Amino acid sequence: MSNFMDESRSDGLSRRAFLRAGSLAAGGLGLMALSGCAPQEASEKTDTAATGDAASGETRVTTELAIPAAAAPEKTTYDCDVLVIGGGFAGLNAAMAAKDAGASVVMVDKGNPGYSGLSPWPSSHRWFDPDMGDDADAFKKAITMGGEYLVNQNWYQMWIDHSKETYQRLADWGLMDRYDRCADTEYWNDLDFQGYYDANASVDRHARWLPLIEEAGIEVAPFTMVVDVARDGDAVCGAVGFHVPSGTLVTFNAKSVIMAMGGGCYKPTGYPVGGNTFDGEYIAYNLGLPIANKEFDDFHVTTSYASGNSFVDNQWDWLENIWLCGGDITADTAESYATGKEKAMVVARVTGTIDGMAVNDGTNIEDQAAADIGRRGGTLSGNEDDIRIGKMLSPKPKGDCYGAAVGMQSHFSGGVFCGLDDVEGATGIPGLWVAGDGINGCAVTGSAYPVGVGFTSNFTSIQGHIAGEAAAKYAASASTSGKVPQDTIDAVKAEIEAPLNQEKGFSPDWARDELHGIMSPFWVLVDKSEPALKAALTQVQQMRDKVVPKLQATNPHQQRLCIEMKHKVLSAEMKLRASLERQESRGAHYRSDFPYRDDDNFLCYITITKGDKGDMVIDRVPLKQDWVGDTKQDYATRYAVRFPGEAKAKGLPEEESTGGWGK
Amino acid sequence: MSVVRYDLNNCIGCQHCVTVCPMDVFRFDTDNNKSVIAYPENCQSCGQCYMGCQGRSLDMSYYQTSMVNAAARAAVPDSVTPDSVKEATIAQPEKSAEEAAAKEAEGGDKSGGWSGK
Repeated sequence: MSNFMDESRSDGLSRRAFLRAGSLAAGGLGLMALSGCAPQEASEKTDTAATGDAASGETRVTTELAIPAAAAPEKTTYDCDVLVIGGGFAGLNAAMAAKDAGASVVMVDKGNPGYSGLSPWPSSHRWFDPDMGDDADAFKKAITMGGEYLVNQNWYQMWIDHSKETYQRLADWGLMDRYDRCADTEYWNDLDFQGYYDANASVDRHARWLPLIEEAGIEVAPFTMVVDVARDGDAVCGAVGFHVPSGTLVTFNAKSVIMAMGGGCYKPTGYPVGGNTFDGEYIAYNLGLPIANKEFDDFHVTTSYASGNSFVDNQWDWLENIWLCGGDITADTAESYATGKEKAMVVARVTGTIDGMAVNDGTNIEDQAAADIGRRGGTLSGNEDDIRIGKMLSPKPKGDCYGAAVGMQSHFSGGVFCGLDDVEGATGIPGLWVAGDGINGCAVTGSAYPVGVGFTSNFTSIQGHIAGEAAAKYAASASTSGKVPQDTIDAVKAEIEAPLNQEKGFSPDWARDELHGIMSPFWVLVDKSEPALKAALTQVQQMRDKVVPKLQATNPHQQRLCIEMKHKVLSAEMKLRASLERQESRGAHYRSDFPYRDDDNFLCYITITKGDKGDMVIDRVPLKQDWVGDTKQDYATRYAVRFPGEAKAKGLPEEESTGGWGK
Repeated sequence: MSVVRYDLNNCIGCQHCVTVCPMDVFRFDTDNNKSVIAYPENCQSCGQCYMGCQGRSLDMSYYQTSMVNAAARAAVPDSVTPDSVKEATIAQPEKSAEEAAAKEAEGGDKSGGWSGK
């Protein structure tokens, strides 16, 4: 097997080869001789390498040792005022805000904070800066039109009001340090990813994440998957989950709970969101909360050259600093900004996918630093003190195919619906908040994502902060027991152990691939139509009835996968039902059988709630009148960008090609 | 799957990979002081383990045995290899500079203007 971008094996003593030679020399002693409890120092081995025999041809060992059992965590019961589930940007800000407000806080994460979920890959961060002359009316005009009149204007106002202080808070925490992009360093010459990482290790935001939380006095339970949120009467009283590596049950007694659990996808295909599997959405749905806007699908792209390889597609997003953005909309450009986003991010990707793609010869490399400032999301303020220069990652193969994370919602559209007047993430269940992308279905970006790069990491932090303060305030006076009832603990124990007791059943990896096969084709989620959606729904319901109850596990790792599969199947059913319900096209939802916007029937959010008999109840929630723009406006002016088939259906002139992503 | 073992001899037992993996792919063998790639079928190919691997024990495979499905995907000719893409990537900054110079020579805006997308 030839490995990706590995340097030549005979390239002398590059840093990597130098280290490798040292290790090979030491490796000559054999694995048994290397055994011991403490980590060995790489530098010591490097010293040995100087005299080692780099050209001796020592055989590399590429086989793995037997899989050992993982140790159980020392602590299996936690007590706190505020439990934060999820340790990404939303969870981080929630936990810190709750702690600042005087609450005792515990954070639980399925992985390790700083490295789990989508938060390790923000790549850009934007804020609204009135001091640099940003025009709030222009920004609102652009998002209202670009979000195709489904934008939650109250939440967008929260972004305008709080985004700058949020950037400052993250910068104060040491997460926004800037350093040279790799293309401007010596490490570019051989694409030395590891050398570049080492050179910037002292400013690595990922490594700062967890110490930041722990030094604030927040207790962290890593590698622990929450399976259910517990209630004592009406109010929340904690959560129950299990330590994934060991399969150990863990109980969190809490007076309030913030779900900052992200969204999900059915399978990550080149986008690093594999740990997000609709865990929060599943829990919320079963608590009886409405799930909104499932029909709007994310349009992230990867390169055909390596469509499923996240490292190829997102290496610089992780390795380089977070680029600062904003200030890119003015009164003069608001309209063209909105239509540009709709064309480039929605319609071009729809048409590009349906039409098929140009052959990828591997030379189409994207260089963001060479892009115009509008595409980079950089400031137009003209102020030399404005540090929002835009996103300028080092070059990487350009994305040309949609479907990097099938099932993922368009940012901030889908998730728990907290009502049109909510600007807190309060779910209506006493003591329970939702915060962040994928779980708070507030639709701040409407039906698409017309807000420019860098919005997500900022806005999700705002939501976390607000929820953290609210939950702490609630916990300070809550009369709830804050103790999980034993029957809830027993129920979760039975749920996580069920796959272990399955004598005959199905592998969760197989089930994942089957679901992905049902949901990933473009005729299901890009070019939607009733026959294709109904066919997929039938398939998903077969999985729901025949596979999910018989998912089988032999170890804790597979127990996690089985529970995740259950979440994915529920999400898929909701997504298909919501897509069937919205019989129009709007933003990141295109129906070829209804290729036009229908204001009369669909200026609403579609929600799905668990009915009394376990059925899915679909509702339409009309938006506030002052959120939806001028509905009397001429159709072609109100909607300046055409979906395929729309011009014909509406008797409008055919628009020139909307293609924009090119080869 | 994407993470692969470059050389187990190089593993220094620092547990970086075990600590950062969001997909629960790794375990740690305390007796031998080595990490174990236990569940590569669930690797999301993000490379966090690889980038911070201090002993240089891990590598990233280009090959994707089970994650190639996007919504649709273009054909890729035989000539496209990890090396050819690496070469094109490294050459891109110079190519970008040449394109910018050519655009400027044609009287275009040096800053690149504003496309609105």
